[in-house]
Amino acid sequence: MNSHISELIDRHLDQSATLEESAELFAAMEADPAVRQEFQAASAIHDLIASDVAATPLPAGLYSSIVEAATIAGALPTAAVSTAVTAGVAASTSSGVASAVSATASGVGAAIGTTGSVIMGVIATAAVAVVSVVTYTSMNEESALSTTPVAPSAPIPIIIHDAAPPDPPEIDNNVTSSFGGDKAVFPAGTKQTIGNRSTVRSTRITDNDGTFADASSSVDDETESSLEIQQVSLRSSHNVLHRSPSHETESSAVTSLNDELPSMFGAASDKSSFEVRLSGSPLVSYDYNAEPTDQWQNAGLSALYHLNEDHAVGIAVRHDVFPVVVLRNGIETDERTMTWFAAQYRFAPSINLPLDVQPFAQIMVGGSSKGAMIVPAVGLQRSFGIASVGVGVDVSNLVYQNAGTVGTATRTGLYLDLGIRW
Amino acid sequence: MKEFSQHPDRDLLSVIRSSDGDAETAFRELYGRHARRLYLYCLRVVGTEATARDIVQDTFMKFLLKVREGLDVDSVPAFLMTIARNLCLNHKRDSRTVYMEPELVPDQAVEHSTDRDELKAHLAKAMESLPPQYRDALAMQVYGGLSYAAICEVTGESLPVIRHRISRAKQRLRAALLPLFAQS
Repeated sequence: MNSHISELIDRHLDQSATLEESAELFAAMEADPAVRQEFQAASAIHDLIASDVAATPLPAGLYSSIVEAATIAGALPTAAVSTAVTAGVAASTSSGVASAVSATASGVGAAIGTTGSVIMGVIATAAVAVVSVVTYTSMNEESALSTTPVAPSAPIPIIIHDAAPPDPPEIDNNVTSSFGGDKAVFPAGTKQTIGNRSTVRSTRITDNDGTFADASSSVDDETESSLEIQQVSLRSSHNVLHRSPSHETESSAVTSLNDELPSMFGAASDKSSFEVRLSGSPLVSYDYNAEPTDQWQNAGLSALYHLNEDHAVGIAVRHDVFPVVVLRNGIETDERTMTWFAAQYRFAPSINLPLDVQPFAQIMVGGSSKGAMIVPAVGLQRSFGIASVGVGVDVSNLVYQNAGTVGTATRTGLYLDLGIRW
Repeated sequence: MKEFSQHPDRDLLSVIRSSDGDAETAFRELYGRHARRLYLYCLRVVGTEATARDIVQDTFMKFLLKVREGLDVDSVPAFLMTIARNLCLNHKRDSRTVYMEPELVPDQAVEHSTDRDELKAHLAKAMESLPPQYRDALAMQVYGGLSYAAICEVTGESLPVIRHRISRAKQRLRAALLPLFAQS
């Protein structure tokens, strides 16, 4: 299967496809049964994952145990817990949730204080407090932050059991099947029903990069049960939400990561960053006619500012060897080397190539007192965490003045660079 | 008790850090927003509910301790996922899980009563058969609900790399499950 088509399918299902891309996909489906079949499989997997997500509840009591452990470890203020306990008594007694609040030996004093407030809270709300012994293994701060298994501590002698805060209702983070869009677009003459889809309708909104943000702003016990599952056929009501690359859907209620992230649609992120790149051209096209170390003198250092994932601008300083002989005061002078400064632009489009490689193109424009330089380069780069390595070719063009006339020199070379980005 | 449902994560972190009486309420709101996705991711990665639960609990514990230490967290979901991912990796390292090669994934029907359950079982196996980096990125996206940018933040990889991994992971899943869909 053409990887481009596969990507179109993913983008379409993620609702990040443009009108043109969707049209292209539908045309491909119409023309090729294999594409249709792949789309069907992708769609079914998408639904399967969505239903898997929807059907997986959070474990009961998880929240309570976190709060208890956090209180013991001092990660949540005890006063906050007692407040929560007091407030939560009615709810917890009605829901039958009861868990233990325990304290470590070092936290006895605080726990006693908590006891008082808890008891007052219980009396005030006329609720029943339950005393029991717990064997929860407490975590101190060090062990909690360690990635190694936490060793059990001694049993905790002081137990005040009251109504711990109940688990909050889950905010549904389901992956929507995401076809509740704005426009239905199907190619003319599409005859086949490609597949049935299960659409989970909720208050989710979908990010432009195909992931899903929590649009729910209210914690509602009925969230889970209010989901409406519909079976819709692709052809009859399979709506397609199209967004242009510049379009970004935001909701004031979206309080997840997406508040802080720009549109990730398409290739670019608006997240800026800095990068330092060390470059060199160890092999060049012409005969140096001399120094064996010449090839190691073609090197440079760039400081780049990434406007987004694709585009970066910056400045560079380069040192290059050119076998140029110029007339200076009537004397032929060998101007072999040149240190020059340049402005640099680098474009590395987010194109998926095998082995996590991506292409790049860049140009450096600058010069020194000896002349002007324009050096375009193209190649491939690969990231290794914050580091990246690039390999390509460059064409160095020097324009210089030679005894009143303008001379030029050009060379091509192997371009290597190494970058660190943060 | 204040109502925090309209407040962004950053405000909630400030409340938690301030140690006042609303800290637990603020944490409760944060938990409500992110716990489910975190649990889904952990469950997908470690495979058992009990372990996933423990990891989510430890994740929130570490998160709270860090917040109370005053750590400035830019993105709560990404930070939570970073902790959870490390714990999952530790767990997998400690349990010495061996991943199956795609060709070793058994294709016989599993013991489930419905076709859908059977498909889910096959999907789970196909996920397990993915290269770890592909599976990790895909799980963070589809189960963890993270954006590409957040996954980049969690993994330290660049956007093209993450896009490539997720794209390839989806293609492999399709390739693995296509025969099943063709049959049905």
